[in-house]
Formats: sequence, structure tokens, C-alpha cells
Amino acid sequence: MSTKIITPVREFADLLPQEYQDLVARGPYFEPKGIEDLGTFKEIIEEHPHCAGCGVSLGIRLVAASLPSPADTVIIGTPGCSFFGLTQTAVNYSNTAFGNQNAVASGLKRMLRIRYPDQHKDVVVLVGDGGIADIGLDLTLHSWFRREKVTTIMVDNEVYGNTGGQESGMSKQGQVLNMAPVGKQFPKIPVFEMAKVSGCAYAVRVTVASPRKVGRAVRNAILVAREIGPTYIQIYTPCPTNLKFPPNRTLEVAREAEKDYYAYEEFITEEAANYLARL
Amino acid sequence: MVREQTVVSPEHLFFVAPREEVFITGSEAVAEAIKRANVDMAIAYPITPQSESMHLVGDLYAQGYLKDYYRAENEFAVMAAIHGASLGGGRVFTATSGPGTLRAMEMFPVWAGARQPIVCAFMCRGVSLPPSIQPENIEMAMLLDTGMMMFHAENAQDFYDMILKAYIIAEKPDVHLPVGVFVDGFFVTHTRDKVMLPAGDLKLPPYNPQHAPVPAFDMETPPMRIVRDPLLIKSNFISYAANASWHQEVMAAAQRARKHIVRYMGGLLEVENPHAKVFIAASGTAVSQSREALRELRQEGIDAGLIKIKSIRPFPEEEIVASTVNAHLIVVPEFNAGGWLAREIKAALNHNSRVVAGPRVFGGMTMPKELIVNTVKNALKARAGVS
Amino acid sequence: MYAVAKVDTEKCTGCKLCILTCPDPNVFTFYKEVKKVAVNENRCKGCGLCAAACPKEALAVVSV
Repeated sequence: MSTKIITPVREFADLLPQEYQDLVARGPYFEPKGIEDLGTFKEIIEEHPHCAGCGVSLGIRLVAASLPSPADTVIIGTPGCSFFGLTQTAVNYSNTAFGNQNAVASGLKRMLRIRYPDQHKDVVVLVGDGGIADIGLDLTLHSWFRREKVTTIMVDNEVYGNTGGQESGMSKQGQVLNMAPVGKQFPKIPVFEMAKVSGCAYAVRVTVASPRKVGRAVRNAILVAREIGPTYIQIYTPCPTNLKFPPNRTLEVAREAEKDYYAYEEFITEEAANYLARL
Repeated sequence: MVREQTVVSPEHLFFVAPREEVFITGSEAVAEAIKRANVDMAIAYPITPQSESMHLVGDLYAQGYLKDYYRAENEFAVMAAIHGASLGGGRVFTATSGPGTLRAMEMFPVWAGARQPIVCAFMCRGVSLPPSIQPENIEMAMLLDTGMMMFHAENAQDFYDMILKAYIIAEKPDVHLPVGVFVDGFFVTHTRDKVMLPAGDLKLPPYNPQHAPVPAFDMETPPMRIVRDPLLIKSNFISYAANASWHQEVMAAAQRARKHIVRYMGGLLEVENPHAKVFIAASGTAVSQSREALRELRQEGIDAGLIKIKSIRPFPEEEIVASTVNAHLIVVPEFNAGGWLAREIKAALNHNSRVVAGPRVFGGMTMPKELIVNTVKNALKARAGVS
Repeated sequence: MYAVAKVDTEKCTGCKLCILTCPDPNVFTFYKEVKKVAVNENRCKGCGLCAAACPKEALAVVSV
């Protein structure tokens, strides 16, 4: 996308909302921005109805701020809490049927390579744990098996948030939730481990309590997906509303999880490491 | 490898280019259409009786006619990936059958709601327990209200022509909707028939995403909250109204397709012997059997006419009313247990007791012409008895 | 009644930790010259994550 496309003609500029004008004047499209620059540029996410203290919305915000080329990034989502923020994000964003995201991204990425053979168009899947680990697990794994050049990011809040706090495959064992009245009977689905053996060239497990690590992981994952193969990032994004802790404790909960069962881990193939070293 | 072909106008390819007769299966007719359709990408998943056509489309990819092709993991994934590829701003093709159609069901209203000119072929077959891979078209009943346009091909020639014309009709800026092109599986896909084809080195002009009423997902349009899906995350009157008007617009777009269907396909239906008082109205291969029945009825001195319905969505309500204004009997033979076509016709007509919903065969049964002839004769007899 | 975060500019050292903890976009602005942050109260939801993260106790959630 060139600056010309978003710059309004002078005569119409004052008709556009202030948010749009800020995006053109101070957005991240044409001057690279990252996590460290937050607070000094206009973020591409607008106001959204996520709950106060929402880990998912923090995760999405950190991802959006870390995109290496937001001017040429398309995000594919799926129904769930994540779409509240993402529908308010100034990139092409689609969420259609629950769990279809990695198939949609596969078709889209291939078509963009046909139409723009000499240009990077980054296709990023950004969805919740239910969308990836439960209803969309087969399509996610198959996109990795096929080595689709797409970055898949899970914002893992360990619960179906949007539908009202039901157990997901990523919920912790023993957790009492809606549809798990006596506690979840099996452990978290090891999607991160699956990524390593299913064709991902780069995978990171991280929490929102480590924003700089999130930023680095997103950047690396998208760059690796351009040339090498599929990449996966799993971000722990705790949910105060459904896990019933005060909203100012979200990062504390994430930090405790980091110490306990959500330790930072990075997986990278030799080919991807060499590629990143060359950049 | 890119295959060199000459781009010609749709009108030239459809109506002007000299054609030669070949003797091919319906599956081969699909491949002949795709060869000339300038398709960017196709995605396949096997199911009987669709598979052979998508093997042949794969061969076209290997020969350089398409730019991408792959075998996906299931039909829901195929239709989702086709949705994604179409979002990317190119021309796409896929095909499925019966249970595959139902597996993918959630994506069809998405295609229509996203205003995507996807063309999908449906080689119809049985769907329920007891299991059947045999021809019947009950899946069409389940797709009537997805927002997709639906054309029903009678034979391999129709199948070839309708697929190509579907792209041109679907991609009109005032339409821009998906089209399902349906045939009754096996009867058309697995039998050979005479088909008239233009030269194989001709192809349609490419799809132009800039003529679409919705932007492609390529970040080449101003990216201010471009959510192509209608609003769903707000609970207020404006979002309900936006959603409702979007649906109305999808239905209106299908109505606007009528003039294009008339121009390219010669109408939503065809009528044989328009002044008859007795009609057989049918779609798909039931039309061929009805033609045979018509011949026999005429030999027996019964002057009957035939209404071949080509477009199921949009449905030619007014045309059917006009064609049957003087008719006192309309027999509707179908290859399914539900009788969806008869329901559609009954809903369109005044005095719909004139409609006899049958004969119907399913589970792979063939439809002997005698079955139709007897239905007509029995109905005439019963009515004579009543009056 | 709304709850929003307020910055005590006396205590703020401009470490920017709060900016990285805020779940909502475009709430915080960082002024490089003076090394201070400011809160856009119209966008703040008052969750208090910034206050919990601030090492200088320069942020507090208050009712307005």
C-alpha cells in the first residue's frame, strides 16, 4: 500500500474523523514502529468494547504494535472475544465461520502471492484458544503440515470468553468453568508442542507480562513466514471477567503463570535462524 | 509454466467462436470449461462423484492453465480456503458432492454475505442414512436460501456452458455473488455426451477486483476499519438495521442477475410447446427424461409442453406464472425425496392444485419415462373424473 | 461514576512500563522531552493495570 492510497485529498480531509487523520499523519504505516515506540504514535487499533483489564485486548494491542509492515498486513480472525478489538483495527480483517481461520489464510496467502509476486503481503491469523485448539485444530494443523506461509497467533485466555466462560481445550486441568461443572478433566492441549512437530519454522510461547518478548516474537514470526514457512506464537492473555480476578491483577496472574506452567520458550529451525541472521 | 492462450470477450467465447463436437463425460466438460475460464486457483477434496472433475482440473494446473491448486483437508476447509483466495481478489473454482456440500455448509452463506463471485460445481448425490453415493439432488433443497445463485445443468453441454457463464454473471458489479452450478451426479458426470466446444486456446478475460462492489483483502484500499462482514458485534438498532439491509442487498443482487442470465443463458427457463394445457416442469436430468415422456404423450395424442428451469436462484416465478397461465396440469418430476422443485413452483403459482408433485425417485433410482407418462395420464384421468 | 487513571507528574520518571501494560490503544502518550506520560481519560477504562505496574506509585485509579 502506498501513502497515496490513505492520504485524503485536501478538499475532503476535514470531512474525515480525527482518528483517520491521526492515522495518516502519525500512524505506523510508513515509518517502522515497534513496542518501544508505543505512546509516541497513533496505534492502528481504535476504541473497542473489551472488558477493563482484558488480557486478550492487551495481547492484540502488543501484536498490532509489532507488525513489521502494517501497511501490507491482513489479519484473519475467528468469532470470539478477539474480534472486538480486531474489527476496530485499521488493516483488512475478516472473521467468518468459527474455526476456519487457517484455511481462509491459506487461500488468501496463496492468492496474494499470485497477485503480488514481488511484494510481501503478510497474512496473520490472530484468534483465541477455542478457535485454534478446539474447533479449528484440524485446519490449523493442516495449514502447518502444508507449510503455508502464514503466522498463527493464539491469544490464550484459557476459556471461551465471548460466549460466557465455558471450558476450552486450553483451560487448566481442574478449573471449574461453565460446561466443566466439576472441573476440567484433562490437561491443556499441547498446541505449542504440536507446532514444533507439525512444520512450524518458528514458535514462541510467551505471556502478556513480557511485552518486549511478545514484540520480538511477532516480528520474527512474520519475517520467517515470508520466506521459510509457517510460524506460531502462543500468548497467555488472562481473562479477569471469566476467571474472576480483579482487572488490575491480569499481569500478576500472567507473571505467576510464567513461573509455573507458561514459561517463555522459543523454537526455531536452523533454516529460520540463518534467515533471521541474514536480515 | 504459463499456458499461452488468447483472451477473448465472453460474447465471443459464448456465441461467436466456432465450435467443434466432442464426445466427453460431464467431468471432462467441467475441465474444458475451467481450461477456458482463466481461473487463478482451484482447491480440491475428493468425494464421489465429483473427484474426477477435480483430478482433471489438477491436470490443468500441471499444464499451466491455473496458477495454484492443492488438495485440502476436508470440504469445510476447501470452502473456507476458497473464500480466502477469493478475498485475495482472484478467480477461483472448486466442486463437491452431497455429504461434502453439507460438511461445508457454513461457508456458503459466508460467500454470499461477503459478496464473492465464487463458482462451485455440485455433482449432486444422496446424503443421508442409509448411505448412498448415487445420484439425487436433495442437497439443492438445503442450499436454496444461502444467498448463492443456483443453476441446474441438464447435461454435459449445459454443465460446460453454465460454468463459464456463471463466472461472467457472478462477476458483474451489480451482482457479485457466488454461483453454484449443479448437475445430477453420475448421470451427467460419468456418461459421455456430445458437447460443442470452441478452441482450447481461447479464454475469458481475467477477473478484475477493482470492479467489485467490495474491496479485495490486499491492503490496497484505505484500511479504516474495513470489516467486510456485516456488523455483528454491537447490540443496537443500527447494527440490526445494517445487518438486515446487507441481507436484503444480497437478495436484491440475485434479482439484478436476471437480466444477465437472460442475456448469456437465454433466460431463466426454456419452454417447449408454450400453448399446451399440460406441462411437465423440471430441472437437471429430469428434463431429459421429461423430453422422452413428452414424445410418448404426443404419440398417444396428449398435447403436452415442457418447462426446463435453468436458474433455481434467482427462481423464475413470473416466467412460470406466464408460461402456465392456460395450463390445467403441471407435473413436476424430481430426483429427490423432498420434492423441493414442486414446492417452489407451487409457491409461485395461483391455483396450485394444478401442480402434481411427482414422480420422484431417489437413492440412485433412474426415472423411466413411463413413470412420468403414467403420472400425467393418471392426473388427467383423476381430473376428468372430478369434473 | 467512572474510574480513570491519573498521573502524578511529580513522581513519573517516564519509564513507560504503564504504556506496555495498558490493554487499550492510544490511552497513554509519552512526552520524550520531559520524560512523562499522560493519560487520555476519555479512553481509559480504569482497570488499574498501569497503577499495579508503576514502580514509582505515580499512577492511581480514581473516581471521576
